[in-house]
Amino acid sequence: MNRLRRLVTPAGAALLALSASAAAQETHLLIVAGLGGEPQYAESFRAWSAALQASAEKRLGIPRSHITLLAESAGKDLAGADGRSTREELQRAFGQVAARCRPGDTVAVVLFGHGSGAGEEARFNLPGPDASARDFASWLSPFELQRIVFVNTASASGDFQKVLAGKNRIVLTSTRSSQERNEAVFGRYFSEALSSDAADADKNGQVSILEAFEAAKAQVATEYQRERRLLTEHAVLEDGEGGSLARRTFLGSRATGLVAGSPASSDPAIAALEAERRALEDRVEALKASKGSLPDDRYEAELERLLLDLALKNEEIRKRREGGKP
Amino acid sequence: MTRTRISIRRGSAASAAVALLVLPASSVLSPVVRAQGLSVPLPTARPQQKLSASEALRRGEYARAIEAARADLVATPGSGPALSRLVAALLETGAHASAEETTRAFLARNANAGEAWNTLGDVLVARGRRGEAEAAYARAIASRGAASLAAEASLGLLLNDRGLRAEATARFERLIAAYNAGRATSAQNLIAVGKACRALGASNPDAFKDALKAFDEAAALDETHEARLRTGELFLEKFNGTEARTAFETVLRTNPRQPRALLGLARARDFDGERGVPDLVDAALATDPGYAEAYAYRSGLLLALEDFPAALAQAEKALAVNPSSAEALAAKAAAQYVSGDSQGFAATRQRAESLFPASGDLLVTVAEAAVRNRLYRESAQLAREALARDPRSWAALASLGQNQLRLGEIDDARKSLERSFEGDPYNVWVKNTLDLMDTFRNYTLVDAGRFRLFLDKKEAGILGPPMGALAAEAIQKLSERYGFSPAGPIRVEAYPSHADFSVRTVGLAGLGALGVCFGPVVAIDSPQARERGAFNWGSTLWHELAHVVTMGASGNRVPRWLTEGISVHEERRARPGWGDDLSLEFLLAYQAGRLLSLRDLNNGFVRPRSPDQVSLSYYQASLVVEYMEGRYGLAALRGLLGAYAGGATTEKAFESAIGRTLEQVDAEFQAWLKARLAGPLAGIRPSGAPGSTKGPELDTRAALEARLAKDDGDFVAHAMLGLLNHREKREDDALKHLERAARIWPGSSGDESPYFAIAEIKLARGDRDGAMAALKALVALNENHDAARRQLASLLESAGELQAAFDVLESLVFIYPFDPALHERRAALASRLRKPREVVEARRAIVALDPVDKAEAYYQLALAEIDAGDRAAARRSVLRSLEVAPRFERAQELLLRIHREEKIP
Repeated sequence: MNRLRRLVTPAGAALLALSASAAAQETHLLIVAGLGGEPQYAESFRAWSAALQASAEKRLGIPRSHITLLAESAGKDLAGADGRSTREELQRAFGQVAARCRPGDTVAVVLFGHGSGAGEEARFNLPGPDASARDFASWLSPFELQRIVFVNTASASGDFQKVLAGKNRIVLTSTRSSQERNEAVFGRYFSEALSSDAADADKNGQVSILEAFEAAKAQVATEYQRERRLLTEHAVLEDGEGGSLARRTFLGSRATGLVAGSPASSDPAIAALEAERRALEDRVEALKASKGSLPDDRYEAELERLLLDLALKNEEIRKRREGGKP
Repeated sequence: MTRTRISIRRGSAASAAVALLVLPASSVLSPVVRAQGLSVPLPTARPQQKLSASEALRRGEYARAIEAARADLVATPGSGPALSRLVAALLETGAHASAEETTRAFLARNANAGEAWNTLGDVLVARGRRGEAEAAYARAIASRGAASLAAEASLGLLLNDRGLRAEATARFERLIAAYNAGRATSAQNLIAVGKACRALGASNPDAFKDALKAFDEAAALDETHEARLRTGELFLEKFNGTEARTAFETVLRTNPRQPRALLGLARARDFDGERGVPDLVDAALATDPGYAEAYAYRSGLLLALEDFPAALAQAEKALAVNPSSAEALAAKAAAQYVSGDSQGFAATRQRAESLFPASGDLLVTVAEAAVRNRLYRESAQLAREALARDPRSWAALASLGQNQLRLGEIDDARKSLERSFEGDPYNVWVKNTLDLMDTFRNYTLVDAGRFRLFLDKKEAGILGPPMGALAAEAIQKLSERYGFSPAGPIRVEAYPSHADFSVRTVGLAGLGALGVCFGPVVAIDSPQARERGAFNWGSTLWHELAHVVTMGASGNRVPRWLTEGISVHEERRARPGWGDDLSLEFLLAYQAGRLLSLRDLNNGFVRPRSPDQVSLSYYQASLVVEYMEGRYGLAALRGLLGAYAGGATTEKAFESAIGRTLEQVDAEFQAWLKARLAGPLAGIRPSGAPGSTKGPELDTRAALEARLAKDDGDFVAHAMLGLLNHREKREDDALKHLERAARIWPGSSGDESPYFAIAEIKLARGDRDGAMAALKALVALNENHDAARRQLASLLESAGELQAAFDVLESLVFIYPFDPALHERRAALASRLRKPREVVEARRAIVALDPVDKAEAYYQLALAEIDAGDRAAARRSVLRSLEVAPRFERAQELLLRIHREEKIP
């Protein structure tokens, strides 16, 4: 099986280098539970925020110091909150993140709550004065060198897209416009998607922003269907690249954006195999991109050959890690 | 030709499309002159005692109109307008002979009165003497009087009918020129211009807009209703029922007896499938007993009811009034054709063709009548013959295209419809159908043995396998039972949008049916076209395939009630719980004597007198079939179909197949039904319908309790009180009443059924067996109750009745197969039951549902395929899994395993 003996390709080496560089990137997560209005909503927003905070720390490996949680009633109703979700606190939190983040970092903002208004005046409801889309645009303006993931799961959040979309930004809203004003459940499922492997559609050990979005959207549709309600929230993702940026973006310490699983091995032999694996993965992706332009039988044969190589490579790595040689 | 996209269908689309007609986009009429005359005020109403002849005529006070017009003629013996009003009143009340006599008397005194010659021409046309009419119009034109333009248009139409199109067109063009020169400013002349434009529309569709414009201008000046009636009739011709209705209703507000408006409204309602059509035709004939077109239309209505002798009699009545009426001749020809009188049909056709040598209209009418009687192939042939006579017959092309579509000749259908649309872009039916056909790119044709399943691409993977299997089973069993196996492939189409299904079926949105059979082509709503649990697509398909067999076995001549009855009967035989069962509504209708006799049962389908009469008739027809099979055997049903195939009338078919008359069978059936319903009826009180407006109020606790205090055997009161208590969480009381209701009438399965509530209560109390018993009773009666089935499957599984649980899950596929959870449960149960093929089916459905976790879904499918021994499929599936997720370790291991085990190089 001489296929197992391939050398690290130049492309693989480049990926390896990039991987090392990417590993230094950090994620800064700001979670905001807005005004509940009614007890059941306040409880939902609290629960979703807490779940996301917990999984961000334990599962995604984001240091607690990089997570800011603002809650409607800090301390009293949400243990572990860093402050109250007022407009002033929010503005201050953005300033703190701006002060500590570095170029290349990812800044993620996730809002749970109710929304109102439209256009630049579309609002996220907070205790006290609300925060408008224009406010968020202003607060995000310092982050020119960071990747922004902005997730507004509130009702009537669709117009935030128009105001906040931009280069190196991924904006998710739970509705497609400000006209969808009914209670939205997208936030719950988005939080869940980041908290488990279920949304990991490509089985690379990480849930990308795109995967979390797709999973949450599907769950929303299922819930409405189950309850025989007309779908009144249509979540939207905009990243300026047709989903490609969101596919490459992950939250947390495993957020290399390139490969899954454990970090690059310190064992040079395994590291070399991993590089070969990445090269194969790269070729699989390249083949998939050319799917429409190849005859079906040729595509299928080439795909099977590459996937088989990849499976063999993975098997070899696994065996080496387990202590034996392939 | 490019079609203007109009997204809304039916009335709205029609309005939008044909409303364009009033916009003078590329008009042949000069816009400057066109605006003239619009400021002329409408005649105002006068006190009754001073009513003029024209106003009386407008209001439909015909006797007064005739009296006043006669007085006017006495006062001004040479007045053409006075004559015209008198003759109009006489013609509108069927006094054709008197109208002619009066006109001729006038002409005897005023031989050069051009307006009177024009009036005589109108009278003679109404009496069917077209040659004489031509001469009269020519005299009117020669006189160069006020009516010369009207006569020019009328003569042009007669010449056009005779096939002298060049001469006719020259006359129509003269009318256009007169209009553009500002010489057509009276209502009468504008109507003449409109008639000319309408005729020119056959070769220049833009002229239809001009016709509408001219009629519109005329209506502003018209002291009669002629302009509005012409407008309505033009809209009807374009299948725009909404606009047509507006025009006719406007006339009827002033004259509720106006016969043309009444007939026009009848046609518009018929077009929209509404009730009251025969009553409107009757009303039109009450005003005008000499209205040939109304008799002809009535003939068509009777033909749709398959009452061939009565249809023929009405056509003869029409011809007695007007022997050269195109509509009357077409009605007669249609009745003769559909009833199998080929000699009579040929004679009538020849007579019509001698009068209208270049027209295909008669054949188009017969083609449409053939469609109503399910003779689709014959209809297509008639349309082709119509086209051979008149290649410009866009209606014939439309009819041909629709029939080709019904016969599954999709490409040919598109060509025909595109050509029709090119010639007449205002036909809403054609436009809707072409719009629908544009969506066909979203569909795929699945080859399933002798079936071609035409399915939405997103649904094909989910619906295709169970649909193919069910269709194969159905056609085999039904063919065996009825001794007829359809030749050639059968096309089954499923539409995820009900509006699309409706357009596919009748050209318009709004059809209430779930499925339709065109012989070798069946179309149904997909389960996604309706609310979940609203219907069972499996039983619907079985029903339609039963039509394929019975229509084929009878040469498409089986009466509507019989084919529907057999189809529902066969649904019930196909699966437990499928098909209509005895309903509370049926029991109440029976009690109220609202069921139809067997002879009138077709009315229940074609012309129901109440919204529920259709469903009542379906069930009644199925009981008749059940009775006949039980009493006379399956051979009797086969015999009936065979007799119809041989061209027998219903009388002869019953005599030969059963040896009884229809009435005798009906009497026997009534006796059987009475015995059969005696049990259930014992618990049903006449005023017992939930929400009934008659009888005591049923929705309050006090009313229900009072009712039960007097009568403990009242099913509805027990059921309603039980359900009320259940809603209010008074479960002890609820259970008591619900169980009592179930004992009184165990066959209840509708909204009033106590079973689901009983199950809920018992389940909450931990009585699994009790809950299962109630749910089993319900699903044995109700084919759509998916919540009951899901619950029952869970209970059966927890009780270890795995096979029974699996069977229930399988039945859910026929209700709503687009639920991933259903297929996960199917896969799990099938796996436990060691049914590898069924696991694969379920896993394939999950993949087809496009889950978020596609890699896992394909991986699970691959595992199932390996278990089922299909390694080649497993290899394909695992590759699909890894294509999505190249690093998916379990899939990688499976791929390696397959390769190593298969030793694939």
